[in-house]
Amino acid sequence: MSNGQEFIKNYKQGSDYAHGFVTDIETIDVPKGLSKEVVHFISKQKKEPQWMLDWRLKAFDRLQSMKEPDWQKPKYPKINYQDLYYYSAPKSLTDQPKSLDDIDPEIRKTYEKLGIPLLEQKKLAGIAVDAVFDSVSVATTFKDKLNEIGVIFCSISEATREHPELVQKYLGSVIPMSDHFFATLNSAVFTDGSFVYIPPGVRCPMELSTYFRINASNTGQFERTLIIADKGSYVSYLEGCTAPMRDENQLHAANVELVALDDAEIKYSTVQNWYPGDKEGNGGIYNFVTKRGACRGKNSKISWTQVETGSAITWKYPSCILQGDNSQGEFYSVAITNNYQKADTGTKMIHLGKNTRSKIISKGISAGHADNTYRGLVSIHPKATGAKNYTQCDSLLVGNKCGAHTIPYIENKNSTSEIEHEATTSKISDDQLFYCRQRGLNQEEAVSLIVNGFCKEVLQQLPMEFAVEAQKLVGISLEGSVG
Amino acid sequence: MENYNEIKINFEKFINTFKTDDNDLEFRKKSFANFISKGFPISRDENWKYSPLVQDLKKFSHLNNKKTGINALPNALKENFDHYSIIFVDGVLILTDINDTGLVIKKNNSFLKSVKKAGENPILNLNNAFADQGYLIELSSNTILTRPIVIYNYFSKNFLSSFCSSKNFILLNEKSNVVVYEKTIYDSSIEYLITSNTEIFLAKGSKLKKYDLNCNNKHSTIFNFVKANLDENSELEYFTFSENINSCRDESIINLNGKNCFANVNAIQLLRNNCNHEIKLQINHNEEHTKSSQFVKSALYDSANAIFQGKIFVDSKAQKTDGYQLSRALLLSDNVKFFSKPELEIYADDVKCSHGSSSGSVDEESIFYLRSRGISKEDAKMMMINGFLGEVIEKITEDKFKNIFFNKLDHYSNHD
Amino acid sequence: MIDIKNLRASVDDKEILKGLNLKIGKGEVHAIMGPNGSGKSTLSYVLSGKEGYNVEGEIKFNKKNLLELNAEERAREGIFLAFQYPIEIPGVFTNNFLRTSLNSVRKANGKAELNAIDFLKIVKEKAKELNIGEEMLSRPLNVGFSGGEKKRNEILQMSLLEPSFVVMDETDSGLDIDALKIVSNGVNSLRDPERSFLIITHYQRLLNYIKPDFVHVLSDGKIVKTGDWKLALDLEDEGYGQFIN
Repeated sequence: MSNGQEFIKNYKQGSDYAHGFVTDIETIDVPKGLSKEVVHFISKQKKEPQWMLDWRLKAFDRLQSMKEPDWQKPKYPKINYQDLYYYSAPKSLTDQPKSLDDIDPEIRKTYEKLGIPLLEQKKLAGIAVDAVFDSVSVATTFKDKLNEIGVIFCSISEATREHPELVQKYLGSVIPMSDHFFATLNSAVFTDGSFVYIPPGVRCPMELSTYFRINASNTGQFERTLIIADKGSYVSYLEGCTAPMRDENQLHAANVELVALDDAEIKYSTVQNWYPGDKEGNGGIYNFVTKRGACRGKNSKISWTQVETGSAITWKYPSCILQGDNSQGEFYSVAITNNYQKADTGTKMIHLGKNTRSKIISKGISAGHADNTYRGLVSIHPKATGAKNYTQCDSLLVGNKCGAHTIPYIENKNSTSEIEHEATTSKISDDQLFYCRQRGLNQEEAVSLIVNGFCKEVLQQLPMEFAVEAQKLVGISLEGSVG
Repeated sequence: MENYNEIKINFEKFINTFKTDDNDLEFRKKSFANFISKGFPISRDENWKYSPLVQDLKKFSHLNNKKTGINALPNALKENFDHYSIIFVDGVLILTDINDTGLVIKKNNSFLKSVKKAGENPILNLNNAFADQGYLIELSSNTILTRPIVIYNYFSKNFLSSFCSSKNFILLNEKSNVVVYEKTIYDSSIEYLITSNTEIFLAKGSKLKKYDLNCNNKHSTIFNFVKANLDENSELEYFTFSENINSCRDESIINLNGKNCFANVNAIQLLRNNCNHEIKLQINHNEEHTKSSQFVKSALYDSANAIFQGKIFVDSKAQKTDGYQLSRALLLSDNVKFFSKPELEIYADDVKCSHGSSSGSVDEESIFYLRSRGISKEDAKMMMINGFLGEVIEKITEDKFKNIFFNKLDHYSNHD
Repeated sequence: MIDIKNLRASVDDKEILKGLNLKIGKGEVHAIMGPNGSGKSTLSYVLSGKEGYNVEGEIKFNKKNLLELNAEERAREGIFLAFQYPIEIPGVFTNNFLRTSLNSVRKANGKAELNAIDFLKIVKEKAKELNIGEEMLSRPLNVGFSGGEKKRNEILQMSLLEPSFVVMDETDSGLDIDALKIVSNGVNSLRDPERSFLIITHYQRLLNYIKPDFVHVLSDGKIVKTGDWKLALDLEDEGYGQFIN
């Protein structure tokens, strides 16, 4: 699979951030700052219908009276929201490209470096790629093929124009517009993202994926993704990100909403490797993402799998709201923090319907001067009879300058439920390392092997293509931290 | 916020007549000022997130700590084994100094103020401002006491005050040993706020076994704070049995400051009606080779709420720490609620730390096994619940007290 | 003594016992053998009154229809189930459990309950006969017991409660030869003209030690063949293949 191989080739070149480059290209820049004018500008660029603009403006108004939360462990320097650009798109994309040949060759070169073979449709072997380049969707491959079976996979902007009924029905229904500061910010200034709709009874035959890239300095990425799986349908969605080297921190505050109706299943996998800051802890992406899935229908299932190795600060809690009877929510996570990275991540499983199930497997690895926190909530509503939860949080510490923390909140209001939570903390033992080395592996390989073993349960959940990339990523993220 | 005028007036009245040295006066005024600036805790404060006190403290805008007439501890409540007594009746300490070989028990008049960090815990601030009763237990080095010390906290039917605070010290010098049994009995049926603040210092090689019985309190709101500092090779065995307590927060901070010290903390929550009982426990591993174990079990009936927040903190130099925590809750009626937040904050890598928390109802397979042996459904359930809670009592290392608590369990599980 | 008529049992709309008929006389030892999934465990659970099954039919015992009684009522009538996987119950001490159980059964049958001292005397005696160490009695029920110890505990209970109808659910699973002998000796010593046994087993081996009067083959929820103890040897040689559709 060329994607994975490209990445591996890049990583073998050294542990320095392999994608540290910038594309020099003219970009249309909106003036700095956050204002009603900017919101209008974004909406106009996207050619959105009036109702969408109204929605954005409502969020903008709401934002004025909200404050950033401060209960999280990783503290960050104050962000001046007026000092950011909220829209940045390459000029050559002002008009939608008619075919792939219409794309600016510079942009195409960028995608090739990233290993996204837009031009190699045939070799893609079944992955439809919606490649987002800084705030505008460049191309949507395989769109036609998917259309034949009724699957809609397009940019969210396009969806507001082509499928307004669906967007209006579901946008903001899982993450309410005023849920919290970053969600509201996103609702006002989101610039792009994916829209997926799977019609009843359809099992999406290929994995859907999106690549992100943040380019221009001080541009926050505000992506918005909405995935709807109608009755009895199935979709597996992959999200993988890279970003170039920068000195200033860049903010990424995306919103992802998933809706699964009766008997439907959504599998959402993420491999996140954004610029984590240099070895001294400068620069790096702030990844403040809100991801939430609603298991609306009976027997529905949503499963989140994430491998987070990048970003200076990762702050996200992919969650499941288990409304439908017999619905299931799963969360598998590997979060690796090295050098000066900080992560405060976890999940929320809200049990509302009857006989709901949730499973949480979280593996946190902390090295260098990093700080890694698992924060989770398992909440059983008084009416949620027969709910079952199993949580396993394991932390692996490398050295004594880092920290690993577990903060689970368990709220059990129904006596017929069963909640089981376990957490352990350990280290890479010298015995294990010696054993591997005695069998011919060098230090790096040994660490990689042991850590991959530690994360196996989670990595197994990833779709094949990602799994290979992820394994390599996991090994590389800890280079230089042991010994 | 709330109206604290009445409390301010009462504090003024109190501080103007209370006899103490200047440092203490200063500290009390500072604590009170800190309390006023923050007021009673709110649920948005992470430390008080699930606490029943947030709701119940609202009743106490009129904290009056005047002492009502002195009553005596009824003889029926006195333990019949040989022991040293410390008796509080209606919030007043009735004590004649004890000066035995190696043991000193006296009224805590000097109110050593070792809790210097005023401002963090609002109720502790209140206690530091108002506490005017308390005991001091001090064992000199190498004293191994065979007679246990029993602390009686008795609230009689004549108790009319709305507030009482005590501040106590237990100091064990090197290699000394003692067992302290503290029992609280409530005959009063008015609403009042009790705050107690006990500081424990265990010097090298010393061992303290503290057993607390807190039962059957339908009206009052209680804040129990214990802070223990353990030095090298010292051991704290701490067991609490809370049964049918209306509204309470048992908060403990245990600092493991010396190599090879060990804190063994065990608790039972057996709650009915609308009881709301919170255990907040933090064990700080500040030194290498320290060990801790937390074991809490809860059985909830009717509309009771139980809260458990247990934290294991491991400092970056506390390598070879062994920290273990287990909390289990049995939810035995439709309207009960269990909130748990078992936390790990770890900065050292060569450690063994784990925690587990589970909640649910009684295991059906086990009930069937017992029934297949002729035991009725109700009896089977009762056997399982008693067995469940009994596992915590098994951790008590003093046999005499193990039996006392098994009897209490038997008594309380068969009564409503 | 026990007359099972047209017994049907299903779980979640799946029928497991499909009209089972079986008569066991006083003092008789019957063995039921069958392939996995034939319904052996279900039969033992349904006989002892475990909840969760939809049951139809009739089980006549002592002039009563067992299906109208719940689990503890059946135990008090004299039904005993020796579990395949005896449950561990932490915190409930073996001694205490045994005494409570025995006294419940005695009380239901109009006998006086035993006090701690008398009970201890009796249980120690029986434990000695069965080679069960006394210290096992003061441990929590089955917790940390080896497979053999758990099964011996089941036999101890059987000897204490003196049931009139014993169902043994794959008692021999997980036992080595020595443990098997002890268990079999225990069972054989309890054989009595007033007591019947239904031994449910997958392997013929146990039946070398506890010789049955009748052997039945259970397949797909029904008894498909009945014979004497020689049938067990045939099954050992030829397997269950001939009975599976």
